[in-house]
Amino acid sequence: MTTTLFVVTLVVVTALVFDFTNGFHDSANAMATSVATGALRPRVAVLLAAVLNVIGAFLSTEVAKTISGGIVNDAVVTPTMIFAGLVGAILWNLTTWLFGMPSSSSHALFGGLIGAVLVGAGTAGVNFSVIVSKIVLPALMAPLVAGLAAGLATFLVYKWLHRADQEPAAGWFRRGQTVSGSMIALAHGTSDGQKTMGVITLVLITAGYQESGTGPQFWVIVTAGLAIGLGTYSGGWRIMRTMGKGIVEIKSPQGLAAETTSAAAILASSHMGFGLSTTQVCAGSILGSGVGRKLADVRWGTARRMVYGWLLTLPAAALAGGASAAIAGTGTLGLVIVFAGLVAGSAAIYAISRRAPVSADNVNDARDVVINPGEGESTPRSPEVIG
Amino acid sequence: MKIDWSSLALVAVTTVVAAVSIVGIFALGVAALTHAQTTTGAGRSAGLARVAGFACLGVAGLIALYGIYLIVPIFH
Repeated sequence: MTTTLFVVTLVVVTALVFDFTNGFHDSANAMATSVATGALRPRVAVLLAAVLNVIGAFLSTEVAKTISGGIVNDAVVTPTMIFAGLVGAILWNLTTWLFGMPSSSSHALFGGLIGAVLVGAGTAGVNFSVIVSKIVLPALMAPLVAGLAAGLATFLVYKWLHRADQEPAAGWFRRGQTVSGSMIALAHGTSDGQKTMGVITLVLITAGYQESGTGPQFWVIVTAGLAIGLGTYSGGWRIMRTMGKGIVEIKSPQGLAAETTSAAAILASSHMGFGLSTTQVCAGSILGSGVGRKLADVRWGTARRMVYGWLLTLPAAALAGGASAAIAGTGTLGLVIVFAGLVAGSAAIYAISRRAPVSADNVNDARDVVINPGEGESTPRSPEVIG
Repeated sequence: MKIDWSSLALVAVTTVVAAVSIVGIFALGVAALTHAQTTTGAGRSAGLARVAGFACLGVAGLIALYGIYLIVPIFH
């Protein structure tokens, strides 16, 4: 096996793993509110989201022209840097998942790439002004815009319908939620599924395995679509709990308002040229739907921790991506060491998560995601667990 | 540094207007349907409310279809 083929294989595998973490990280964006209000049973919700993600991935196979949209100078990016950037993004995605923190997978990927390029090509490879205009500013605007819209919508619903969260009205809102949540899942599949296809295709082109200017190959579309779908189906229950239960106690009218707002914001931003992070839009909508309903219990402490997580995403992924690039840049042995480190790190994070696991069965039982059992507020246990 | 303030404003306004109108139409529909369901007897007012309610949900559904049209690239 030649070195190029080895690097390309590593990048493809790592990109698919990133795609998987992207899926389970963002499962909550589409379905957390539907799961929390009981509009969909947890396993049905993630199955629906997964199927729509795969369909979305197949619908949109137009490869992005650049990996990063100008954040790093694509001319200096090597497959090794992409590999290191993906490693940084995966490790950060897993860490935030462990703490149940919703954070943007795109920002993690950009962060990892920025770190890898800084180490591999120096500061000239990174466009810092684009970081401000494409990441920092949208990160500030997304929760504000979504929060305002969802807050207004929720306020109106409760103004017109005083018994909005009681039957029979609540049932109608739950049915509406099925549609609004599905829209987010489909939109997510078309945007994020295509992102990994773009990374793999660009690597294949750089390495000379594919003609420049051609679209993704069929196996790339299939594997990338399946990776994000499997990730979505696996649920990311820790993040699902935070989004559905941790920020606001959500009733079905709020769920409908939050999901509709998120869908509208995602579609508006992808069609009007000002990209907003899906995760930050969805979290902002949920927060807004809590502020819009009088007497709703908004847990600002969790919201504050979530914002800290967003601020940390870029530098933390950059740090991990930079360290990976420094080691991987030394040659084939370095690549193997980084890959082994990725496997070991992922296994360790997974092992820690098993101490206080969150699954489809207990996602709605508590509001906090904890690392050690017994931390946080007391969790109501289901009878069979005690018995 | 170039920040595209006009498209940012456009996205913000579109999001707010779209979210409030879709949720508002849906809520009106639910209000009418709840009225039809809780009004005793199958009087004219209950029937009218039911028709109006489903009409509102239908409009919300059409907007959702337009959303799918926007999501799927092969449509445009």
